Amino acid sequence: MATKDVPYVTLSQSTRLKKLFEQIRYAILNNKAGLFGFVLLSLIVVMSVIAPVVFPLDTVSDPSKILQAPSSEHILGTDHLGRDIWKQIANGGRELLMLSLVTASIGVFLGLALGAFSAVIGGIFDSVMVFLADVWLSIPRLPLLVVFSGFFRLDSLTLAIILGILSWAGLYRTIRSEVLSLKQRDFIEAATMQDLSTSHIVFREISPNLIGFIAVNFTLLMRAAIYAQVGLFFLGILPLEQNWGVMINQAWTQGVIYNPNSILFILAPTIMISILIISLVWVGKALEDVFNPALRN
Amino acid sequence: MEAAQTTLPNFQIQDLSIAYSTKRGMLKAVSNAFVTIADGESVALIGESGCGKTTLATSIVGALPLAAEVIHGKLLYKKQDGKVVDLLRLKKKEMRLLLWQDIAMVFQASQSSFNPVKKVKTQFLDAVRAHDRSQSKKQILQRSAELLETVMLDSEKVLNAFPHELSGGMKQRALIALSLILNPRLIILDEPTTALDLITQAKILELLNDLKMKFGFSLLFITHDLGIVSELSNTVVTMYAGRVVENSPTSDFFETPRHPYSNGLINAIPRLSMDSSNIYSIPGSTPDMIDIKDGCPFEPRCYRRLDQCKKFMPPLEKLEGSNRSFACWNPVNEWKKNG
Amino acid sequence: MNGKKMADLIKLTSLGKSFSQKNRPPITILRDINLTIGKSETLCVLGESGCGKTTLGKIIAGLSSYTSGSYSFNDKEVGMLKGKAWREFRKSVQLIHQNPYDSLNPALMTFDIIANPIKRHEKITKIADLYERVSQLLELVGLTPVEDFVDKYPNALSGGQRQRVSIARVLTMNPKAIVVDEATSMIDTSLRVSLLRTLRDIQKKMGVSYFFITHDLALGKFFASGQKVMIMYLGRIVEEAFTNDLVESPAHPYTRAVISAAVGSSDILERTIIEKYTLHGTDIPSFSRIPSGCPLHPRCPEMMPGECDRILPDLYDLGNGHRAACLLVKKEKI
Repeated sequence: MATKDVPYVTLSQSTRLKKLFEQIRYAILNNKAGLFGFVLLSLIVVMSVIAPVVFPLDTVSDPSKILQAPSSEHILGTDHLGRDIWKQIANGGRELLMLSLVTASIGVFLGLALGAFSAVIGGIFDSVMVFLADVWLSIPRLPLLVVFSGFFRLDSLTLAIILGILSWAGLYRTIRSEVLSLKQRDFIEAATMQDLSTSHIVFREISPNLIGFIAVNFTLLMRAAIYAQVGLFFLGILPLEQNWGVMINQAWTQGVIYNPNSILFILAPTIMISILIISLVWVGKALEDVFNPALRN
Repeated sequence: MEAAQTTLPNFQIQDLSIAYSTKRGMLKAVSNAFVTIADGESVALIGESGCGKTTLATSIVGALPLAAEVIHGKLLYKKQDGKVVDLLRLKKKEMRLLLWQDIAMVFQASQSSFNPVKKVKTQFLDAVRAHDRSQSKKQILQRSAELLETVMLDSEKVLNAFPHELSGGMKQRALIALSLILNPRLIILDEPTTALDLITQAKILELLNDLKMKFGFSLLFITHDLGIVSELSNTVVTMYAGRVVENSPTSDFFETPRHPYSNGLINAIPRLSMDSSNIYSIPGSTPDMIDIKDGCPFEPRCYRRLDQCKKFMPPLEKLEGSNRSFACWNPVNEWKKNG
Repeated sequence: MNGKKMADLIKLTSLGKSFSQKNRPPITILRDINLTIGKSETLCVLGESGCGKTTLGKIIAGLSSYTSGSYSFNDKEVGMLKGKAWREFRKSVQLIHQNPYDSLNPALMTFDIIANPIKRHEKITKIADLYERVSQLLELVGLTPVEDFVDKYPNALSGGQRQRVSIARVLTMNPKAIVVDEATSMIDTSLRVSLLRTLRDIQKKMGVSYFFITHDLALGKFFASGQKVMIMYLGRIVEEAFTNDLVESPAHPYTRAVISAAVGSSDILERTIIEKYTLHGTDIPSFSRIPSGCPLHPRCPEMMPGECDRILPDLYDLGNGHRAACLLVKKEKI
């Protein structure tokens, strides 16, 4: 005879999520940098969403308009093919955002699962994993990716997935040490006394305590992914699509930077990338202030 | 004709109210508290967790957290030269001078009061040098060793050790020695014996009594353990929901408690000499300190409640002809008029 | 007429626990522990912090291993249990932690904390059924009205309330024995009795046995009244008796010192005046340097030189289940 008709399991999950969002909201609204970063990030997201409709890319090159300075028609000027720069900027962030989201999701999941299981299971598995992680972290990533691209045809989605897989080691170590200290807490001992399965302990007892950690590291991974992608696009290793990284590559290789009229062709995407990164940094910092286990309780 | 008071109390808390700002609103941790501590007196501040006793004590040494605000009240302290100052209105610099030299506090969970990366002797040296640069290192260490021996610690071993090398009881005693190093006139102890076992606890209480006799300081200690109250205090101040509800000499407190809450506390502790059937816990739980209702805060749990208790807050009134005061419309032991 | 004594639920025989150390002789934390706890019985263990009682509690609860002697639970040797038999044991003996601020997962609601083991062991999946079970348990531990507690996170609960949630969680396993490790020492003194009464009610209703660890003698006397209490010092049992016998006629000097400390020197609270009995010195020797002979001898006011520092006393019988490990007791019997 349930005295309330509300299904309690969904109640607990929705309350948990609600509490999480409240914490995030608190973090962002109470921290000037966090708020600013959040606003910037939202603007970029909005722009990326509406750009295909409101500012569609110029697909046809117009030789008569090559490398023009900013004017009323082309706010940021034109590129070496006569295409409007502003439209490229508006559309240029979308890919970077989505790909970095993919990378961060994969990286965080792998780091979390491997780090938590490693800490909980211990033994040989743990020792081997720690060694692997140390080795992994000492491999320089960019040259590795360059080598990869030589062997395989990489499109940006594959790149995002590969980057995600490659980034397991960083988060693995931090999660592992967090979980090792959580393991000492009485409530984990209580969970073992209840004969709960290891996967239950990892995903249902330990992970909820790591959510803040995960939120913060997610933004970190996004940043790393953006750097990596921009670097690769800049190096021209990836097939040319339309995004800020590619713009920088084009500016460089097409000699656009030497033309004072269209200095914006290289400047604008660089600035946009910086804005994106900084907004992630600020939001990440605001989240950290709220979720840092050292400051919690 | 009443004899005029020849000595002003060493320390007086007058009409003190402190509140914390929280997400839900202002939490009134202490409301209109009145406490006096005379020279050489030992006052026990008792009450359940959350009754405001720790907030009250930390306000004396100015260690309130940022979220706390003193709404009104005075903390009057009579200095060595006879001048009376209000601690709440002192400048930081003046307060720093008074701290440790006149007033020392040993916080709860003293295990973390020591800096874990410094040897104990360094911490004694630092504490003295922060107030008195005239003493030489040798002098300070000698005095520290003396004090440590007084608290029955091996001074050689303890001074050269790091905090983690000492047990809980040893750390507690070392902290008491540290609080004495500048001969303060008032020592505040927050839960001095929690987490210590019986034999160590008994030794520390004995020690505190001896030291008090030897050095003549006043003592204010906070506890929820009535057992040590009977050993260490001459006066008991009971707090409930941020208010002082009773203030009595210790023996009067245990023999004829007036406030039903004091009575409830006394009856809720198991003692070796009693039968287990005489122990009663107080039903219910402490009230919400943010959403304060009219009337006496203890009313919902009180077995002696009257209609007026819900509407009107009883004032803290002195009982005629005694130095007891309590805040209750329907006190216990009414018929024992002699206090 | 069945004259056979009912099998003891828990039986420890000469149980010991040592830790090996690098380049040093091993440290012995527990020595020669003999105790029995029957069904629905309570055994109280009292001692200073660091005397090994928590280690003993953890061994009984199966959270720690023992290195010598025997621990038999329901006639089965615990150290040899594997697989299904081990999991049966795992559920049958539970432990309630001392620190209520650490024993509940701060990221889970009360409902989840109690429902998780129910889901696993009773295989109930329907939410309404789970809710009913959780409510039953919350009512049993006195957390009513239930609606006020199910969706609260631990940080919204007081110490006493958290301990009750801990108890409810333990009861989901339907344990036969519960180790109560100083479960009230971090709760206000005025609230301890209420919690202990709840535990005693549970014993009456569900027939659980308790291994009650404490350093507060008055509390132990209250909880284990009419049953047995054991005093430990430096990893050994130095005295055991029914609670009233122990308090009224303690035999071992250590017990006498503890009682003297518990009563205190003022008669205001206790209304009895007993002569103060104190030990010399202030600190317990560490386990790596346990004194020879009777471990209490450096601190004992009645130490007999030549004997107490050479001979380790056994537990000598004083009748009615009262035993003490003291050479004085042995002398008096002769």
